[in-house]
Amino acid sequence: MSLARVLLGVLTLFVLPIALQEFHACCPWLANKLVEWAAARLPEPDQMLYEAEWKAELASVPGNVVRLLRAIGFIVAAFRMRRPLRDPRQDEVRRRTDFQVSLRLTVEIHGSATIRVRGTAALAAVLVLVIAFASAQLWLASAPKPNQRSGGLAVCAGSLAVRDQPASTSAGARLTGFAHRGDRFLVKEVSGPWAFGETSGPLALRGWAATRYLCSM
Amino acid sequence: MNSEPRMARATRAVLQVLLDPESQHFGLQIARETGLPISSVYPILVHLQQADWLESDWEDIDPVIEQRPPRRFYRLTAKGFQRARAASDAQGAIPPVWNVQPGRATP
Repeated sequence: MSLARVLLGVLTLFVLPIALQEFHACCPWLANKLVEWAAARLPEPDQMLYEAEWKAELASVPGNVVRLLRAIGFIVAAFRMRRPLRDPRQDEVRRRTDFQVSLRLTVEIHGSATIRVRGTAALAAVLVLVIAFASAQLWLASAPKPNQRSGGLAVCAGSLAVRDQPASTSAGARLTGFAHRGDRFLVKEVSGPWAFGETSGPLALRGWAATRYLCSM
Repeated sequence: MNSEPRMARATRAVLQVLLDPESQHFGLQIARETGLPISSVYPILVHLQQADWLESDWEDIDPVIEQRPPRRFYRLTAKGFQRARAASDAQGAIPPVWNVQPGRATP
């Protein structure tokens, strides 16, 4: 018999029943704590009232686990009762506070989607995000292309004509040509950020060299 | 706040239970009779109280003798009774929510 089986047996025979018994015994205490926590979610003037009411309700519920489930129900109820119980004057105070410091976004959907941004800080945050996104898009669009960066010569794979644009081969690779060094040229095979190969030669022979390079691929 | 509560099915079910003047109504008992979860019953009771349709008072017992804390009982005000009766007459009998048959515990 392996050690794991022995441990499992001990767990099943001794630890689990004791744990269940303890949990069962703790249920009323836990239920009371949950009710207190639920009542604390309510506006302050109503907290004591509902805590007393819910504890009285719990006392009449038979069964410890059922009591715990009822307590969970009171938590859900408390969250649903918060808004109607809230004093309109408190709403005004909260709205003013939101206006000053809140970065919360409130999304409400009424038939059609409407996004309501509460508070100037939240509005400013959204504006900054929009401007940053637009700037990033503009920067990406205006970023120099590889052949522009090199300022050199590009070789078109189809006709092998010399152009100022990078060319794609049928294999999906991109060819970029350079003509930096006097009368010599350089052709690079580029795919994404990686260069896979290159060839060079006299500028006058660029068409022939590119053809030879392409044929060797 | 005296806005009229929305007469949803659950609200009407709660009002139907509260229309019975014979028994004393408390939260769990209303939930049991309507078949609604308590998480729905209490928000409805709050709305009804804010509309002045409902009032509540505490059970008059000695917690030491009864061995339990006093309950909070709800009953309809005159205005609430009138509106609930009108709604009940207009809509007819409300079938219990979740198909739970209302009933009382028998000894």
